Amino acid sequence: MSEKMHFLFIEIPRLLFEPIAVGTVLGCFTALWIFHKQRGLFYWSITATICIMLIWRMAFYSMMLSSRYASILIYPAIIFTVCFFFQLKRKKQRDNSQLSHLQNQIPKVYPAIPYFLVIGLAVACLIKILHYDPYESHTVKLCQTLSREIAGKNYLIYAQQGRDRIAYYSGAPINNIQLLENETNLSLYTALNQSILKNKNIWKDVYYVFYLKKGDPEPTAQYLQIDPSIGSWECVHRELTSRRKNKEIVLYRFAPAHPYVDVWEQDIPDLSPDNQCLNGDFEQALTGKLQEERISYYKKNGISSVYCNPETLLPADWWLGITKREKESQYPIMMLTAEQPIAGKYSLLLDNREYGTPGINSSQIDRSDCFFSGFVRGLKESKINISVCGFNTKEKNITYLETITFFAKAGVTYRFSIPAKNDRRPEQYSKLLCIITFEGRILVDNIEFLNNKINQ
Amino acid sequence: MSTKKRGEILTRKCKKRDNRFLHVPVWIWLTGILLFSFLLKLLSWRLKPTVSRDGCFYIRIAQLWYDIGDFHVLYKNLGYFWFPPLPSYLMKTLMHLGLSTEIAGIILNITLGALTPLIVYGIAFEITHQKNIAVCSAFLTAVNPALCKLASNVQRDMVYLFFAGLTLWLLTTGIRRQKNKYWCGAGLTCGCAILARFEALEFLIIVPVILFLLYATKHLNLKKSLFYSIVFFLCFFGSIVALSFLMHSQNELWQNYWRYFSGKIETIEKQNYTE
Repeated sequence: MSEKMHFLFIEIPRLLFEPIAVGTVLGCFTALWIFHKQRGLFYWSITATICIMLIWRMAFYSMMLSSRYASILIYPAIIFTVCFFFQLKRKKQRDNSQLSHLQNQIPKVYPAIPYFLVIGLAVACLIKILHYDPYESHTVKLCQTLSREIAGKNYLIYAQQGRDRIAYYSGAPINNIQLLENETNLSLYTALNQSILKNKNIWKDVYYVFYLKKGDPEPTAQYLQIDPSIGSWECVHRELTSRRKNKEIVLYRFAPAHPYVDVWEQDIPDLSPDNQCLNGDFEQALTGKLQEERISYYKKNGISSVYCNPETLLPADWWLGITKREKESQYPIMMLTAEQPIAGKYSLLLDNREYGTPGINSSQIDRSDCFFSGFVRGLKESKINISVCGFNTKEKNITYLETITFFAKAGVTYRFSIPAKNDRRPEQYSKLLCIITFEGRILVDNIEFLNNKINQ
Repeated sequence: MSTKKRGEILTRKCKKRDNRFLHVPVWIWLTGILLFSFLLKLLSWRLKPTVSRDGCFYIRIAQLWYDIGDFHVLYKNLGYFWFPPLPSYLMKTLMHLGLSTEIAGIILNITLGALTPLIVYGIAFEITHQKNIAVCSAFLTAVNPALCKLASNVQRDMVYLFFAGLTLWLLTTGIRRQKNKYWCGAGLTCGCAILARFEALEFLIIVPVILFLLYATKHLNLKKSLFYSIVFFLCFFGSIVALSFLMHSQNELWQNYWRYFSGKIETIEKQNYTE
């Protein structure tokens, strides 16, 4: 109930403008108490209408996110206020015994008092309207800085609120802006910390737009408990939001230090002789009975059209994860292709065909400290997750040890490299494997597992 | 008192009076207030040009609608998120004149906001028949800070307030003068208001309640009460159907408004259960 009272007595008067709200209440009060005999049914029909409007809004208060929902009440509020001003003069004309003391005191100007009250109220309104706030454009200025920062870069933006406005003024597509989820029992600082750790391996700069109140601690890397080795964290822009100077909007940038992904423009090196990843160069295709078994397996799980062609080359030692789809066209493609391979004769072609995030996995190797690398080329704008996973041979389940996520532009070749230390793995996961999940169309080649060589 | 006598009280015509206020013709006052209102809202926009958070959302919708052209595809692209389409449609229409989305929204809102004093003048005059109250009400409407703020930003509230205000004025005039054309006009503008904001659905309750009140107290006979409500609802549905076909939103409109109504009823039941 207190929220409804707050809505009725605080938010609605604020919307109407407080002097008008007071005038409305006085107008209603005087109409009821003093002048009710002079109002016909027509007057009370209007009053009933206003009561229904008020009750309608109070009943649905929990669905109302803003006091603007009650903006229709501005019309009757203004009319009630003006009626109150003129009722005094009218009352004086009809009944000389009432308010006569006022007439005695101000005999000449008494008839003009309603107009003075209207003008006084209008002046108060004009002062409020024409009030200039030098901090009004704080979001625009911050977004101009953001727009300069993100020009030509791979980026991600997290906003505490106002996604649409940041997208509009910075020019960033709204899908590139996510809300910094701030659950009620989590502070802003905890949310920032979790978001930064989640994106520590991402191959892009991450921007955060949020508000700090006066007295709030500055979100330094030390305060957020961020290890400086994972990336740089700095404030790019800050603006006060109002004359009271008790709140500011800030823009911070997190640039991951070890993104594990680089653009590769040089020649592709051959696989190391110590490589333990089977068929990491994707030069071996399934043939004979193995190919038939694999095609039969795909057919059994609903995929047929792509893999029915006997000329389709399926890679040895790599498996496509299959989940049931509604249509044939939703199943992903995994095959070897000789069309402009990254290296050698073939590269692995992966295409999710606009549906879902399918995955492929390698064969398993024995666990150890290892270094895991490879090359990816985007055939169109694609999102790629590459994970080093532990495999439990007894229970047949996996655990993700290290994951990197990056976006590949069309026509650009990237080299990824992930160190995975042994000491972080539970004992029961005795094997390692590589899992690649993707959205888009990419080529993959020269994937290698190198044991006991963390830094390569 | 008989129904006819009570009805005459409602329709009592004003004595012919001098159409002046403080020795100046009323139309001059209203023209001056209109111009002042327009300039004030323009100035308010120049002082605070930053588009609000909701305004950016409406700009995005209008731009998408202008680019895509088809409401069904737009609705699907927005993840089947329903929004009353009239304000965005009007913005999109203005964009065909070569205006940017933001400017189209601002021009739409400032123009409609500048006209609201006339609406308040009409309502106040119909209720009180006093030019001083009506003109002063119009003047205070022109300088109201909330209306200036809503008019100088890209919001759908101004479109709703304009059409809802027109509906109130036409209903007031219809009750007073008891002419079918006002009830018909009220139905048409109510349809427009509902396509701007859900809150305008309250008129579908207000109109029958008021007509019933007038009938119960014998200010209107049963025949007139029923006739006016039929005229109102027929014109209302006609307006909704015509506009939804014009905007190609007819399929989505009915199910979403029904969902709005049933959701509100569930909300009230839950609130009563909680209390």
